[in-house]
Amino acid sequence: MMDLNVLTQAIGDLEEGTVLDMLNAFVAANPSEEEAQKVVGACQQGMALVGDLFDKGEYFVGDLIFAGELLTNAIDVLKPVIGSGDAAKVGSIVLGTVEGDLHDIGKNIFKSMSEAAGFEVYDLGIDVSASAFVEKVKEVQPQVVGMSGVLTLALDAMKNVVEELHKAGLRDKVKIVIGGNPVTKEACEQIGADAFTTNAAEGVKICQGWVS
Amino acid sequence: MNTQYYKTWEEYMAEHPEIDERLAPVMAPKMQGYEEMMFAFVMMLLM
Amino acid sequence: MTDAKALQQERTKLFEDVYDGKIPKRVPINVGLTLEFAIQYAGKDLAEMQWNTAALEEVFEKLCQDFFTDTNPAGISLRNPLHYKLLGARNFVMSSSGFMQHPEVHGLEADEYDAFIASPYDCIMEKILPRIYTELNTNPVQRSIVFAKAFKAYWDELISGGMMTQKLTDKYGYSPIGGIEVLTEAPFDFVADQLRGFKNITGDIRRYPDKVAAACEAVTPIMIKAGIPPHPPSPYGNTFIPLHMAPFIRDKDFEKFYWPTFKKLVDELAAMGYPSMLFVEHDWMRYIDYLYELPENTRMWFEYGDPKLVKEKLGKKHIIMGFYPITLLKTGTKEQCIDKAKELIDILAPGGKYIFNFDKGIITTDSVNIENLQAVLEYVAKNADY
Repeated sequence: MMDLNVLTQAIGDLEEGTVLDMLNAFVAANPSEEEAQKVVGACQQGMALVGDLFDKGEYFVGDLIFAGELLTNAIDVLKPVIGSGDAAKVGSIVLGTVEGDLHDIGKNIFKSMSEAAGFEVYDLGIDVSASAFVEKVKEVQPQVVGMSGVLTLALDAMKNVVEELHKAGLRDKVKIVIGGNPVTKEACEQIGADAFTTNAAEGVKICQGWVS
Repeated sequence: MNTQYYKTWEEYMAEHPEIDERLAPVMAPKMQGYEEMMFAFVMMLLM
Repeated sequence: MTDAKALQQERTKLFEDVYDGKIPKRVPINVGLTLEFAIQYAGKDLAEMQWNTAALEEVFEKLCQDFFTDTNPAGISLRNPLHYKLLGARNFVMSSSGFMQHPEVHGLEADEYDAFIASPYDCIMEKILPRIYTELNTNPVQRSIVFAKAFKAYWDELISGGMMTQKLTDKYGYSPIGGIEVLTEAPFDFVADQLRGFKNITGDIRRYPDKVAAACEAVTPIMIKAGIPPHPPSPYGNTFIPLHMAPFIRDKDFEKFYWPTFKKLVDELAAMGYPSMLFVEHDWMRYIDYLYELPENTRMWFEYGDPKLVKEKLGKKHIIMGFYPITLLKTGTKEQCIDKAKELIDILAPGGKYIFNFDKGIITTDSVNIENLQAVLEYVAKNADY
């Protein structure tokens, strides 16, 4: 068994070569599912380190994007040994970039980081209508709805989604977090969301707080 | 610029010795003008 | 002399003075309102009007009548849907709301860096354009037809739009200088944006750092060429360079990949007599000492950051614009909005080298309170005399 602390640190340092070498060697040794889950856990801890470094101003958005990709690649390597009995999800999130907005970088960072933290994420993509959000919430009954947008007009679209969730009687059954460049405390209140963030790592922490 | 898809007027003239020296000064701004418009258009497509 | 002509001369002088390093009569105002804002403000359909550009004059005229600025507030869009549609663009598409948006695309694969470095322009023409513009990905004959249509459409629209705004500039007495003339990009932004994509470039700088640096070097001459306006050198021109990636990468990546070729771009344009106007997107405070190093009188339009620090460190050498948060125009009272303008003028105006502008373009009418916007512009027009 590898040194999990070394792996966690290598993820935190975004050392892709080291991470993939370690994981390939690990998979080649034909580990048990239990061991593999521990390795997944170490990867998730590595992502938490990335989030901390971002908070401290040592990493920036570009580093978060790369971290998301690194994690995806890491999980891909591990897939054959993780097994089908996937670990219990900590919660589920319906996620999308709201109607009228096609930007998805921030949404995708949040998605990979929340998946790393053990959430099941239903990603509706970009330019997502209020009715598409409502339908998906009805279908999968998530704990959290995440809405993302870069344009200022996204704020109106977010408000519209909240209103439609109200009308469908679903608003009180979910927590709503909004993220992206234009979101502010005032916008959050106006929209009727439960929380806002411009920082994907913080967004994940908010969601964790809701499901714990 | 090291490309086969854009030529300065001097490069163009070097390849076209048939052009009458008397006409070159009136041809240059017109023909090179379109070369520059094409360059500007192409660059805009990636900005 | 007509009133408009006199007004135009007066306004032009404001910008000339700022660019010449003299104290102008008043802080000049250069606020561009976007095409999208203009269409909404006139109560027209956004998607329809972006196609029916011949009908825009009325839309623009309304801006000229209702908002005070010293440069023409009406800007024609560079994102005209016509040529993008003709080309089958993947990089600029109209969303359901009628806004032209920019999805993440990439036209260059990682294993093509060497070809790009050998000849960026050949690579653009042969490989990159047909990937981003789907209608070009066809046989040579069809491709030449598509390209001819798009080329003509682009220039027809640009020239007719330019004539339309020129007419209003003269009619309403706006300064013909102070606005944007041509567009170029920092070499790293050019490589990052549509060639490799924002996501890929963050991996590339770790996986193939030397190739990324070499690609930025290789593309620098064509970025310089793209930044030369079609007129003789002038201290009053503006080559617009919207800066993008720097705040999103680490300092050491900035030093290696972003700064050297960006500095070369601005330096060489300045050496030829063409000043640059930078849109300093997001927060550049950790790079403020780098900005100081750029040639004197570089125009810097700031989005976020500390205006005091910028004035103190850059204000004697460069020309500062921006900082006014448009979100306040939406959330604040009229008094708060005017106080903010006063606060920024008090910080940035002393000694000249300051042009009033907001922190970013205003792209929708409901992203601001129109009355607040008008009140702020009027306040600056009447209360920012030297």
